[in-house]
Amino acid sequence: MKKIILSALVGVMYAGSASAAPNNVGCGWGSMIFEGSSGTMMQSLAASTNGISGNQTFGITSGTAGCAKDGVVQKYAAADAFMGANIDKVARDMSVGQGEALETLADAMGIKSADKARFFEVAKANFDAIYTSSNVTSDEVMVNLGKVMANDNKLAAYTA
Amino acid sequence: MFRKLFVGCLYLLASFSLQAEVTQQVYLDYLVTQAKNLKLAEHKEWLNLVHYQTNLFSGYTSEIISQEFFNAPDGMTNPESELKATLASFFSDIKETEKVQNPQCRHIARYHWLKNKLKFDSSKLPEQACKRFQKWYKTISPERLTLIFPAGTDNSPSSMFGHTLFRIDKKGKPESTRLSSYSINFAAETDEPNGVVFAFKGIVGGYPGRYSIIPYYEKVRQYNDMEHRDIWEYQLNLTPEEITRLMQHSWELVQTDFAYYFFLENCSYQLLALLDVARPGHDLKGQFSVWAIPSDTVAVMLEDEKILHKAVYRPSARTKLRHQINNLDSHEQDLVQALAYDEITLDNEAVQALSEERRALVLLTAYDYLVYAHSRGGFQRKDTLKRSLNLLRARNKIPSTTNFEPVPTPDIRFDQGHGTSRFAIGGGQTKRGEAERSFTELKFRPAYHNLLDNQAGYTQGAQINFFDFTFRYDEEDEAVRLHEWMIIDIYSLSPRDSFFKPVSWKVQTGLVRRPIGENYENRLVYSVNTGFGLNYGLTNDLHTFFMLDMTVLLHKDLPNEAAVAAGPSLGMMWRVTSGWNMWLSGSVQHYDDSLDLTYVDYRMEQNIALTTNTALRLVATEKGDRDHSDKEVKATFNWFFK
Repeated sequence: MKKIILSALVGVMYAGSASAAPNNVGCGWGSMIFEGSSGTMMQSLAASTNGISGNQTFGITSGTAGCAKDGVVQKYAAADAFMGANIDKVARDMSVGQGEALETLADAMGIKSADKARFFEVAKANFDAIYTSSNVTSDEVMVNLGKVMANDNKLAAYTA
Repeated sequence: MFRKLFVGCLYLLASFSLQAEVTQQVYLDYLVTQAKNLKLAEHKEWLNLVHYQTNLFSGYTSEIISQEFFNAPDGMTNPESELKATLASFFSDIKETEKVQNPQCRHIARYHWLKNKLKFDSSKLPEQACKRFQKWYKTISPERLTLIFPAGTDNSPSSMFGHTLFRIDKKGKPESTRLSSYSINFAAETDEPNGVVFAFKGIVGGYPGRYSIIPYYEKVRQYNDMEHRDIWEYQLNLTPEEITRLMQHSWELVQTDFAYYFFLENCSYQLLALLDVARPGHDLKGQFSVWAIPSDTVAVMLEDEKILHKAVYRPSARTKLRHQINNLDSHEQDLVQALAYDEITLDNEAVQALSEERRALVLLTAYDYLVYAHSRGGFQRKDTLKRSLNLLRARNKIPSTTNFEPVPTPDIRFDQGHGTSRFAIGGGQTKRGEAERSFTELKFRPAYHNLLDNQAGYTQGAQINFFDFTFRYDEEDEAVRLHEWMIIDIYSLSPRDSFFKPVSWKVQTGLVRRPIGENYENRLVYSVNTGFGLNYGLTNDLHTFFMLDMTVLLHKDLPNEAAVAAGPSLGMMWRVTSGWNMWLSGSVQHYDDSLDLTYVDYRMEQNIALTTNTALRLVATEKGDRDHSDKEVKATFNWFFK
């Protein structure tokens, strides 16, 4: 567990420098929740926490940088960080067209409440263009989302 | 001429700065005297700010073990010299950098408390801007404090009782975006990979404890998604001043090492300490002196009725999945499994034959099941990634945005269950052959929950008992004896079905009565008993289980001072009504040659909850070997408390 949190934090913190590396640690579809399982009893002994958890680094690690490398979405640092940690949940919500992860993403991207319904619609309608493959990384998802929004009259303003 | 003037100016400057220093010293002396007159060093709020604890006999020691937290060399044990040194440090003109803070900022909660008590004159003691703190505060943007309480998990000794943390809800944000709030978490700091070593060292204080601040979505992923623990979120009513104080003190505490002890000075206790600083005049942590069980600390926090704004239930990924499955009919459930295991493709006729609305639910549940199965080690994620994405894509093609109804909120929260300590008094009769004896029994169990205790507010199928003492007064020989002492008694009975396949297990150790030596007299023996098996729910409320048990007995009169046994056990647990639980079990343990004994244990127990914190328990047992069996019946009145 700790390893996952660490890799998530590290992934978020060093995403900028990781852009050159072939593997974007902590940004891939399915790489977050799924890396390392807590299957057997002994494993979860070590993994679980009751106030005994690992080495989380101090501070607001998200918000420093996301996994994005394309200019389109650089300004959404908090959104990038959120996407980096929740790529699977956002995918689930986008496929349906609603949900808490999608709400939170919209808020982190600064979508005004008047435009939220449209944002949900556009995200759902373009799901295939946003989650392009099972290897897609969270920065790619953010870039794809940005492109889709740029093509929408109402949402283009957010990507300008 | 000019030179004289220049030297004169220098002289003047020097005397000014000297004068400034003198003025500072005078003002510091004044403040120290004032503090002494007001007895600030003995003030409860000062003691809380520096986390002083009264020593056993006299004096104080801080729970904080980082020397950097103290200004005075003896600050850890001397509240008065720490107060003096803190006042002196506030005159520092150190400029804030990324690495260094001015003492006023480093100890910003102390600064504001002392400023308020001593009415600092800002012309004599200039206030620092503390830009780093201000920026941090602005990013977190606190409006409301929410207490977060993930349930315990019985498969980890370090998280059996649950955990507590705070969430700082952002100003002006809707509730649907709470995932991106920050959380304040206190935890032992360790890289120990071995859960047992880790639990042991946690108990004896082998790790430092530390606060950290991380996004709430990280915590939700950890507890809800990875560890499958339901969460209760308690939104608290704190004044803006109280929130500010809490944030100031959190700033002081982040990256400060505490002494961590699993039973008392744990996460829950430290949150109480933080709340005590935020709310002067309250002494929540003072109510705990030996152990602090999270549910008890939550109940204590909520004792003040006005403090709870709203409680929100956040079910775990498993709870949500179970709820979804229960909302599908059996045909749809079969399709979910077939899709998840890749036995049928998305264009399968049966899938296509479903209405759009139902198909949407089946596809989503299959996706969730893959995620769940992976978190339990069932699948390699890389093998199922494509399938997962294809399920979402198929779901996405259905225009409707409808989803499952939310999981219903339980009537009873984790903090509203029975108290975690139990005291019982009662009596009964034993019978061996024709000999009958009567006894009176006293029981005390400091923690936590027995399978038969009122389940409301506790996890179904999870029993955790610690240090369960039983004393008996035998009316025949008029003697009081320690009858049994179960040090650890844990059961994990989770039902299996086609979706969920947990293994049930138990670990029990302590002093029990077994017939050893001559006359088959029941004597106190140290026993370790463990079992693994399967549990099936016939209905929601009627479960049966089968286990293979192994027992080790230790006693000096045993042939090798030890005996080992193995055998099956079979049982049934029935929740007759919400307050009435019944248990039937039988076990056979065959001992090795040293004892050459086949020991059977049949029991029937019933627990009838009278109120949340009182219950009646009836127990009938028969145990022993073929020739010497002890029958026993007893009734006890049970009282639960914090």
